[in-house]
Parts: sequence; structure tokens; C-alpha cells
Amino acid sequence: MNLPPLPYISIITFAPLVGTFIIMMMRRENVAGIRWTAVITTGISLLTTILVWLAYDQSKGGVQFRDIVPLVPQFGISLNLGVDGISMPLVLLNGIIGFGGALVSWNEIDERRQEFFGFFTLLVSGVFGVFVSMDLFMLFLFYELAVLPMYVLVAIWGTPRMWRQVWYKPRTHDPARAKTKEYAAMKLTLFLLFGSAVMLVGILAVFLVAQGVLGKPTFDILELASVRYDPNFQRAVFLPIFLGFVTLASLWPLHIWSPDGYAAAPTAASMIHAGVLKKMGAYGALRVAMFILPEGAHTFLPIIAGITLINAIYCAMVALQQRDLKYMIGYSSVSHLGLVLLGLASMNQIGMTGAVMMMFAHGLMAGLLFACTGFLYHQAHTRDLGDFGGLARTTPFLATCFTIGAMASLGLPGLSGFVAELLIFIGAWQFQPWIAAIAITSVVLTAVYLLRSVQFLFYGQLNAARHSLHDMRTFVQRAPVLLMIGVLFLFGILPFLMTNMINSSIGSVVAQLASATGQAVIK
Amino acid sequence: MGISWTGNIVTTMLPEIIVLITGLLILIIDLIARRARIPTVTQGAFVPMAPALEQMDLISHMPARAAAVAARPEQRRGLGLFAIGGLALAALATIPAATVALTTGYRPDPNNVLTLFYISDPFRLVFVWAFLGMAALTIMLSLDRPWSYPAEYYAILLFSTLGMMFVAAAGELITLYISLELLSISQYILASYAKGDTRSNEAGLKYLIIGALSSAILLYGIALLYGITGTTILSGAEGIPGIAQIMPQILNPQSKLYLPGSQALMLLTVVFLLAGFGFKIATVPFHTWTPDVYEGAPTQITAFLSVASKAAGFAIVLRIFVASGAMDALYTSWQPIVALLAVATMTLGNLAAIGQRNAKRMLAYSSIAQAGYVLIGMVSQRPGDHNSVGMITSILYLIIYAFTNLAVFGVIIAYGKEEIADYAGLSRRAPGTALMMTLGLLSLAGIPPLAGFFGKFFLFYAAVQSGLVWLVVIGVLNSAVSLYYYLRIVKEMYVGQPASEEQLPQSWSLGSALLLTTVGTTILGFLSGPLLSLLQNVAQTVASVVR
Repeated sequence: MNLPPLPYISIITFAPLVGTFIIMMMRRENVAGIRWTAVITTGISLLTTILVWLAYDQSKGGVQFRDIVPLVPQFGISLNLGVDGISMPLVLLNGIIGFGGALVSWNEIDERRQEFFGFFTLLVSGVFGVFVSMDLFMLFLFYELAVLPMYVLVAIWGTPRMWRQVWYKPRTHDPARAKTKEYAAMKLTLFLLFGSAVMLVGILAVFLVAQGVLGKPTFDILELASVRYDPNFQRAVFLPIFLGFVTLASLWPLHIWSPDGYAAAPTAASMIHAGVLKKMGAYGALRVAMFILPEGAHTFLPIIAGITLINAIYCAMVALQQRDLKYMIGYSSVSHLGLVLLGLASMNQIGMTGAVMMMFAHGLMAGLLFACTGFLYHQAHTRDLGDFGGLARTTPFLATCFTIGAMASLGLPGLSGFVAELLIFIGAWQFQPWIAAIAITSVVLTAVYLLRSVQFLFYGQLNAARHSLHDMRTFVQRAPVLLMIGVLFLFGILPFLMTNMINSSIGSVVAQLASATGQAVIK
Repeated sequence: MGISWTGNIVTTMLPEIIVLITGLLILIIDLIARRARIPTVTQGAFVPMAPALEQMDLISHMPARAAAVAARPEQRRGLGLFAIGGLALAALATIPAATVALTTGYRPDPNNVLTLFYISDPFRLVFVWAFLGMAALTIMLSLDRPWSYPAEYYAILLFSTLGMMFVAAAGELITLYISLELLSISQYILASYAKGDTRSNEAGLKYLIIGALSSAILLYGIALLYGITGTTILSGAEGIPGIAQIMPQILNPQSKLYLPGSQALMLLTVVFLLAGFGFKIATVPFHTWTPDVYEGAPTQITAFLSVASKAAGFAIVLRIFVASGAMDALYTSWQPIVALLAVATMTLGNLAAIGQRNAKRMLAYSSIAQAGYVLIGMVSQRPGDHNSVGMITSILYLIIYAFTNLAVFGVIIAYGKEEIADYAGLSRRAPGTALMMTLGLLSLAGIPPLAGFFGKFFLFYAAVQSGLVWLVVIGVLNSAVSLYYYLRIVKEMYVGQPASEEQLPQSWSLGSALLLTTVGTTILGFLSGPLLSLLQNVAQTVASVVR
């Protein structure tokens, strides 16, 4: 498919940003204008993304659709945008979640809409920027740009007070033990910025060494990766960069900001947060840490693979304890991100393909689950599983959507999550059979807490206090969840659409990793 | 020689001369205006002159009348605008000197020692532009305030700027000291300018006492330096050796000038100089005056002190320690000292800022911390290394910081409240102002894509380039800490409940100053390419030191 030459990637990235400016210029009372601007600009990004996906030449692979504008030539910084098979699924994911989030917020946000949609579109733009930047400086810039709106979104529109309720203790509403949205927002921001601060040192070191070798300053990731760094240097620099990124991907024990952040965030923000933001961390770990510093990856990733087991299993157990639906999904997503990181840590083609696919699939299912949860919470003002029951009778549409999300999440065949998990476990098996064997048990735990939540929410006695809950009725309410469900099915039934895309480019990372030790690549 | 030299020096000094004349003119206009106003004030019932009589007197009273209009309280803006006009003219007057300095470079004339005293190189020009801009923005922020003596206020502000401009050009220690005194004494007065406010008086007094002390220490250091080297010229020309040329010989046992045991004395000199300048740039442990003075001084002056005075301090430090090459021979001794100062300054500034409740006090500690970041750039400049970018990243950071801090202080002036708690709900009362404040604070914290991020990034780059990775680690951790207290104000503005829903009034002068600084804060980072190419000319200064 041939497209007329246009800066497609710039359109994808900056359309929401243009939306931010338009929204800021509008009058506060112009609610329709503000909502439509957010939906249209994110919609433009989504449509352009689909176009680029279709036009991407999978037989060639590599980075395509490049837009390059030099910014600070003295330091080799340029606005260097482009997509390859690894970033393409994530760009599509952000397009879907961004568009869906704008729709979900259509009715749910009822105060300070102008600011909300302004920050939301800014956030979406920043996340796009991370996935399409082929310039390390710009990647870092967008990475931090995406973190800040998150703070504001959680701190203003979040849940004012919440408690981490667990099944084995009596429920508490002690004001002294409540966590506030300000607390959650600050925790989230500081964790992520400490991570990126540490990362920055590593990035500068890589840049300077590469400058010495290449004889010119450059932040181009491909050029940086072409340098063969001293193995000891790689080991020293890999850890700060990798840990900086995986703080965002919530690697245990750096995950503790994440469940609070989820629980406090408004629906659209937790959709972006769980759906896309965390993938930025995993993506960065793959694209920057592992791709540029393969020797460091070989040294540390076997240890990291062990830690991801704690993520996958321990955090699934913690999810099992939660009464609060958002905390439960929050820990569930930490657990799933453990699988993503396990796929990356297996360092073979299958595992990494699975990891990228998992990023995509998990983004959709987490987005779906959070959209349903947010819809419930907005009406009921509670998220405690014990407060619901029998909702399948009054809200069948919602029940169906949530159940599909839960099924995708626990890896039911036919949905994208299954393919991703399968690939990750095969990859992990090739890497270390016992690690794969342990990791697979997490699937059982996932099934337990998700099925239980479905049972508590939708089956059994109808809770009298919830009679008045209404279902998703309008187009605006149904469209985002239907979109996400449709895509989950599409790539679950036709997984090769996704795996071919990822395979067209993941080979370069695999080759890079193999070049470090000279080992044969396991195909 | 004589005539051409005079012409030359007048052309180069034209900006300073214009600023001086503007300041004096403001005083004169005010003097005449006050005389013209006396009848209206003292007699109360002033009888307007008969039209015929007025016509007769019109021409002879013209200057007095014009002046009277300019200085009337409701029209006090006139004087400020006049001052801005003078500054703009001065900026225009730098063009001839800039053309010479940026094209052929500045070469001191060995036959004329004055060209070593007063150096018109790119270093000077960049700082002069920065000072003129900062002064103009400060005046724009000052226009709305009903100063009890507006003429003197603007004149002293201009004289202080004049001192800074001389500081930027000074290539000799006595010139430098006198310029520094001109700028400092003007600022002591300005800090206590809100006469009725005891906090302002306290600020002025504290500033004066500690300033005088540090000035004495500095003078001691200068005296020691003169005693050791026998010259006060920082960097000489052929036939006229300066400190930069003599110092290595004093330390070299093979040289005729070798002075055994001078190393310890030199170290003492360095410590004295750093103590003296540390006061101006507010580094730990010479920072103690900062919170009190910043809190007490009129906010406009706080803004001016925090950017211009600090930049002037850095102009001197960078000139002596880096640009002139005078301290190159001692690099190994002062580098660890300054690096430690940087660490202490960043860390203490940021940690102390966390607990503050007053926004001005918090920004005082923040400005201490920011000085620490700039010091990172200074220690990263390795002598004799042409690829070293420490100095120019420091200067770039100072420029970015000036825009950012002026934006933040501009909002404080526009809002008129100092307690952080008072900022609750500002985003609903004045969304634009709150946004500007947010951008400013986030830029100070170094969040992309704002200018502060680029500034810090380049500073850290310079440090990693010089192998000071540990310093960068401390620097980045500090900037992550700093986000906490900057975000506190943002949180108040966006999350807090406003005491009233009433919209804030805006004046055009404040509004345009805020807009200018905010636009600078937002786009300066992306313009760092051209800015860096300009600053690379400054780096030539370092490269062209006669060795």
C-alpha cells in the first residue's frame, strides 16, 4: 500500500498536542467543543496509525516513515521520528486507548473538563512521542513529558480517599489510614522521576562514549547501537538505564507506586496508565537498555528473569487479597508486566515477540477492565467487591464486557492474551525451563482472582443498594469498550497479523543480543 | 593613537554610557518634576493659571511640565518606560562592539593597558545582553507598584545594572572589585526599598552587613593574589604578563619566578575569593542571608537579586576561574573545592526548600540549589581543553534560569500573595497565570520539554564529559527531590479550593512581562542550538588566553 508522502508519524504524535492547545484556547463553558476536540484529535492519531500499520512494509522491516528535524546540532539532537515492528503495535495501542479514554471521559469527567482534556491529550501525545522517537534525547524528553500530566490527572480528578481493603481483615474506613489522591500522585511522580534521573546519567555516559567512537555527537538510537562498547562499560551503564525504565514497568520491588496510582487515578488516566504508560517502561528497557547495551543485558537479565517471577506470582497473590476492584486490577497488571519482562529477559525471538504482543494485549485488557470499573464506580461510588452482586441481570452489557476483559486477562484462547502468554512461556522455556514452569503457575492465580471478581460483581444475589445502576447505553459509552474488545478478538483469532509485524523488526534486537556473546540465536 | 583609542573605547563602552545617562536623566527629570509639583502639593488649592498666561509660559516651562507629567504618581510608569527605553538603546549600542567581537574576536592592544582592564569579548557581550534583558524585565514587573520614590528606584536599578555590565567586562581585579561594589551597594538600597515594611528594612540591613563582610574577605583575597603575582591584570597580552601568565611560573620550580611554599598561600587565596563570590551567588555556606533577604525585599527586587545578581556573581567567578585562565594553574586545587560547594549547595538548598511555607523563601532556597547546578558546569570546564563545554553550559543555564525565575516571581508579583497556602485554587481564579507559574516551576525542576530540562541536560553532559559522573548522580537525584516542593505549589494551585472565585485583575505591563518570560521558558530549550553557537564564541575566549 502506497501512501502520499506526508509526515505521518508527526501527525500521529502531535495531533493530540494540537488538541491540547485548541482546548486551552477555548472558553471553559464550551463543553461540546472541548470534548469534540479531544475525541477528534485522538481519533486522527488513531486513523493515521491504522493507515501507517497497513502501509508498513513488513518484508523490509526496520524503521520506516522517518521524520527528521535537527534541533540542537551541537549535541546531535534531532526530532527523529519513525516506527518499526516493535513500536508499531504500541503506537496502535496508544491510539486505541487514547481515543477510547477520550470517549470514556466524555460523561465521566464532570468538573474542570477543559483542564482534564487538555492534560489528557498532552499525556497521549507524550506517550506517542516515546514510542516513535528514534532519538534517545527526544525519547527521554517525551518519557518525562508523559509522567507530569499523570500527576495532575491523578491529583485533581482522582479518588479523594481510599483504603487498601483486604479479604482477611475487617474493612476499615479509618480516616487516619486513608490514602489520598495527592499522596498517590506524588508517590507516582517521585518514583518515576527518580527512575528517570538515574537513567539520565546512563544515557549521558552512552552518548559520550559513542561520541568518542563515532567522532560526532548523535542521539540516534540506531547509531548508538552500532557502537561496540566495552563490556565492562556496558555492565556499568546497563543497570541504571534498565532500572530507570523498569521502574515505570513496575518491576518488583520498584512497583509500589503503581497500585496506589491506579486506585487513585480517574478512569481515563488509569486506562492510559495501565494500558500504555507502563509499556513505555518495558519498551524503553527493550529499545534502549537491551538494544544498545547487549553485553549488559546478558549479564543482568538472567537475574532480572528471576525477579520477574516475584512480579508474576507474588503480585498475583497480592491481587488475590484485594477487595478493592481497582487495587485488584492494579496488582494484576503488575503481575502481567512481570510476564512481559520475563519475555524480554528470555532474550530469544519467541520470548521477545511474546513480550511485545503481551504489552499490546495487556494494554487493551487492562484498559477494558478499567473502563468497566470506572463506569461502575462513577455510579456506585464504591469499588469494594463485597458491595456488588447479581449485576448481570441489571447491566448485562457491562457484565459481558468485563467478563471478556477478565477472560483475555487470564489467557483464554481466542483472545490476544493467550497468544502472548503462550509465546512468553515458550520463550522462557527455551531460556530456562524451570523459570517457565514456575511462571506458568501465575496463570492459575490470575484465573482465581479474576473469576472471583466476575462472580462477586455479576452473579449471586442482586445487592439491593445497586438496583438503580444503569448499563452502558449510549454510543459514547459503548464505543470505546467495543473497540477494545474487537481488537482483542482480532489479534486473538488472527495472531499472525501481530506476530508478523513484530517479527519484521525484533530480529535486529535478537541479533544485537547475540552479537554480544557470539551465541547462536534460538529461533 | 590617542584619538582613535578614545573613539574606540567610547564605542565599546557606549552601552554603559547610555545606561548611566538614562539613570541620571531619570533623577534629573524627577528633580524638575518635583519642583514643578510643589505648588500642587503644598498649597492644596492650586489656582490654574489664566490661559493667556499659560501660553506665554508654555515654552519656558516645557521641560518642567513634561517632567511633571512623567513623575506624577498615576503616571509613574512613564519613568519606568523611560528606563526600559534607555536599556533598549543600550542593547542597540552593543551592536558595534558585538560585530567586532563576534567576527574578528577581541584582541587586547599591548600598547594600551586599558584594553586589558576592560575586555569587550563575546563573554562580556553575552552577559551584557543578559543583564539588560533582566533589568528590563524587572522594570516591567515594577511598573505597577506604587513606589514611594519611583525615580530613585529606577535610577538605582539602572546603576546596579551598570555595575553588572562593568563586571562582565572587567579584566582586572580592582576594576572588578569597584564594579562589584557599585552593583552591590545599589542592591543593598533596593532590598530595603519598601521603607514602611520592617521586613524589607531587615533584609536591607542583613544584606548590607553580610555583604560588607564578604566584600572584605574578597578584597583580602585580591590583595593576596596581587601580593603573590605582582599584578592585578587577569590575563595579559604580549609584553604585559597577567596572573594567567605569571601563576604557572610561580608554581614551577624551574622558573626564575618560583616561589617556594606558595601553593598553600594560593589555596588560601582561592578560598578567600570563593568565599567572597560565594556570597553573591549564594553558595553554601555563604547562603545564610538569602532566605531572609529574598523574603523581606520587595518581590521585584527579589526577582532581580535572584537572577541578575546571581548571574553577575557567576560572571565574575567564571571570568576569574575559567575564562581568563588566571586560575588554570590551580585547577587541581580549586576543582574539588568547587565540586564540594556544588554538592553542598544543591543538597542543602533543595532539602531546606522542602519545609518552607512562604513561596519567596522557598524560591530563595531553590535559587541556592540552582546555583549549585551552575557550579557543576564551572568545575566541568577543564583548562586548555577546547572540547570542554562546562562554561558555556553554565552561561546557557543562567540565561534559561533567568527567564524561568522571572516568570515565577512575575506570578508572585501579579498575585501579590507570598504564603504557599494562599495559592490554593489559583488555577480557577486566573487559569493563565496559574499555567505560567506551573511552567516556570516545572522548568526550574528540569521537566521536559521546558527550557530548564535542556539547561540541566547540557550541564550534566558537560560534567560526564569531564568524568565527574558522581557529581551528575548527585545532581540528578537533587533535581528529582526538588520536584517535590515545586509540585507543592502546583498542587495548591490546581487541587486546592480557592478562598474566592473572583478573577484576578491583570495589567498589560505585568502581563507582557509574564508572557515574554513564559514564552522564553517554553521555547528556549528548542532554541538552544542557535544559543549554543553564539556561546561557542564565548568559548573562544577561553581558547585565546595567551599561555
